[in-house]
Amino acid sequence: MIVGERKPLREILESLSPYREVLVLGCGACVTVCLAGGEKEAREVAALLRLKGFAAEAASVERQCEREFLVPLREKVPAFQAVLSLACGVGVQTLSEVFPGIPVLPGLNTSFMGAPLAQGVWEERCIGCGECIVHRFGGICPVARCAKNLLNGPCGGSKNGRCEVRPDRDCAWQLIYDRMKALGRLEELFVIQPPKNWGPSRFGAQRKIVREDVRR
Amino acid sequence: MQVALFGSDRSLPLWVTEELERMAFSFEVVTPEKTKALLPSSFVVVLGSALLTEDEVAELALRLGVNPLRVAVFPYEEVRDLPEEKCRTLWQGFLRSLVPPKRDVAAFRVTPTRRVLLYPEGDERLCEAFARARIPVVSFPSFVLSRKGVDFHVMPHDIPVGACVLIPSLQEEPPVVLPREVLDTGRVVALERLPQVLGLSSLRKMCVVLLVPSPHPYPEDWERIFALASLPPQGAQVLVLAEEVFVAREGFEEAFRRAREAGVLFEKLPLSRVSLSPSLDMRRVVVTYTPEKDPFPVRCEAHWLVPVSRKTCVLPPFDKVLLSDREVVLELPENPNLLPFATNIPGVFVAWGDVEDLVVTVSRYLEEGSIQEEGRVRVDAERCALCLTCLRSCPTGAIGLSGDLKRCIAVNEALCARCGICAGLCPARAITFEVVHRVLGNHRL
Amino acid sequence: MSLGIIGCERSGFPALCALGKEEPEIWDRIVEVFPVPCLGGVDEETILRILLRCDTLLLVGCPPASCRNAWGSTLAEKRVARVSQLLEEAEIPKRVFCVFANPNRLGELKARVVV
Repeated sequence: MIVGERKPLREILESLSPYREVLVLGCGACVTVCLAGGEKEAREVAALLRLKGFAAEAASVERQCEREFLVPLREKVPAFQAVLSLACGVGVQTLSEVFPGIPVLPGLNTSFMGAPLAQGVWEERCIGCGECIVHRFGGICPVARCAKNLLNGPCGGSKNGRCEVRPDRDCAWQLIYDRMKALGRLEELFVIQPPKNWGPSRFGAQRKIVREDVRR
Repeated sequence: MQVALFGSDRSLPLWVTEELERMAFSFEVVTPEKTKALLPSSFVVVLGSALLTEDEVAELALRLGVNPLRVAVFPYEEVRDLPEEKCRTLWQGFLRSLVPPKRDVAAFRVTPTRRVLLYPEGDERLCEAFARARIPVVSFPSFVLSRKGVDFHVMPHDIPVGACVLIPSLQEEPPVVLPREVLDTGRVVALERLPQVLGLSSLRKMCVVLLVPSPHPYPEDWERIFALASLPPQGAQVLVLAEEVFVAREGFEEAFRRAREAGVLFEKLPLSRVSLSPSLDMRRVVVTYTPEKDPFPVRCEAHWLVPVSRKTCVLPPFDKVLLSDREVVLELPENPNLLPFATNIPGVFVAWGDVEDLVVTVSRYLEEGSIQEEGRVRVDAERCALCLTCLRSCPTGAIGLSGDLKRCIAVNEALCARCGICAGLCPARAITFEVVHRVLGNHRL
Repeated sequence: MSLGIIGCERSGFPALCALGKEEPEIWDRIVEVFPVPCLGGVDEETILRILLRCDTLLLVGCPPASCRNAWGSTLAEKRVARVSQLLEEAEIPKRVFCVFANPNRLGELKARVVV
């Protein structure tokens, strides 16, 4: 899922300074699950804004990234001077497309695609490179989890299974080695990995998928 | 509206009844015996204390056979001494705040099955103690547990058990790092062997130093330490350097006093402040320490050094046997608000300390059970985003997943402690607890 | 300065009542009192909502090691720290504190409540 983190309050207040009546809009999908921008957080921000003198109200929709879920807000939103969206970057943009006349401000920094490791801990697992190769590395993605994105690792700087760039992170190549060893496939790590095709990744133009078979 | 007044049978002050009449409430005074006449639509107003907890209200509701949300507590005991005018206003405000509950809640008593599972198997002392209390005991070499209500079901044998007793293993380590040279003096002896060693030696004036780490619930060591007081009169001088003296047990306070009277010195300090070295002739151990209260180091030469091992209790891997949607987080039973031996998971006990005390605790748990409420907590499946925050944070492990596709979380109300932690954390506000508001002073409670 | 109090019904609320008996004048400053089953169940929004009506809010509960719900008091403590930080960031002159007390241990509560 998409993991986000709420923007510092100071930044939010600064961007809201020209307005008084504000709708804080949460999103019921990924950012609810990662406890950053669900209904609870929307109400929390609204309560803080009210303490600060704003006429703030909170609401939440199922998924801000899909227009259909934003339809019920059509009557509500124009009553406000601005909308503070607690959705990921996708939700914020959909919202501003649906309500072109109302300023939509982001209240959240979209951090990464990751998984919860324990209550309150999330870690990146995928960078969306567009061409998945994790099967070659025992199910552990070196692109997302190795600080140096090495496909032919390890780098040699790993210490006690920890990354040398961020010692509080696991070394992805240690994990890959351990997993391949457990699977009895260690010799596969001797294969030199060819340079990765970054074409499907973010470095081309904006990515787009059109499926003629399901398209109406 | 119908109101049943429940409380002290002494005569009620006028303001209670007058305000009821003025607000056109019909009312009656009830006692636990006279409850059959209660209309299902009536409120039971307890003229009690503001200190009544929700658990106590639930118990009362069960006794009266009413919806706990219809039991409202007026803090009569705190209020009655106020001037009458004030009482009237408060009472009015309270009566106005009575709103019929939106939910059908029923209080019920859950009593676990009278059978105990020992994990891991075998411990004759425990089995015997449970047999004396007439509580059947089972144990299996391999099994998994699933939770059904307040009971555990042992699979694949399909036997319900009401409680699980985890038998911990002891891990012992020395209280401080003993330097090699100190060990070389041959003057380091285990506590168990000390009486023997002292009995053999003929030296009249000997010094024995004991190093005791912070207390653990294994009192046998302390029994041995206190028994040093009864050494023969020509016996050694004993100095006990302890992180904490364990006296919270029957007879221990007395034994501690007797030991001190007999000349055993107790000094409380962190053992990290003790340093050890061999004496020059390598026949004694030099112990240097700084007492807690004054800053001057004390030095003594010990003929015998007794490091009492630091014992930690390692629980068997309970999360491996309990089939649960979450990892089980067991809190070790040191919390004075929990039953002794109990963990935060209802029905899971840890067998440490006194066996008899453990059996008493478990048997009381099996007999009394607890009062629970059905319908107090509600999960709105439409709102639930299945983020599993509640499941991971429930302190009693009462939350799991339900449905074939595990499409919603489910609260096991036989285990719910009504703490509200899940509702407070839920990002989608899908979990709600119905709460009865209470009134005290000029404050809405 | 007005005071709001959220107390857990096991320790915090009884502690407040005990203190109220000792020093009845504290009731003049207290504008809101909420007994809750456990402090861990009090969410940020509730805290902020009550703060609208008072200057200082105290969450009074069991000492963390004796919270019946394992980590309820710890959770409340973390939450209060976070809300305080948010208030500070927003430069809102309101205060929230977490206080651990029970009827036999009133010191900390007394220091916060009695002027």
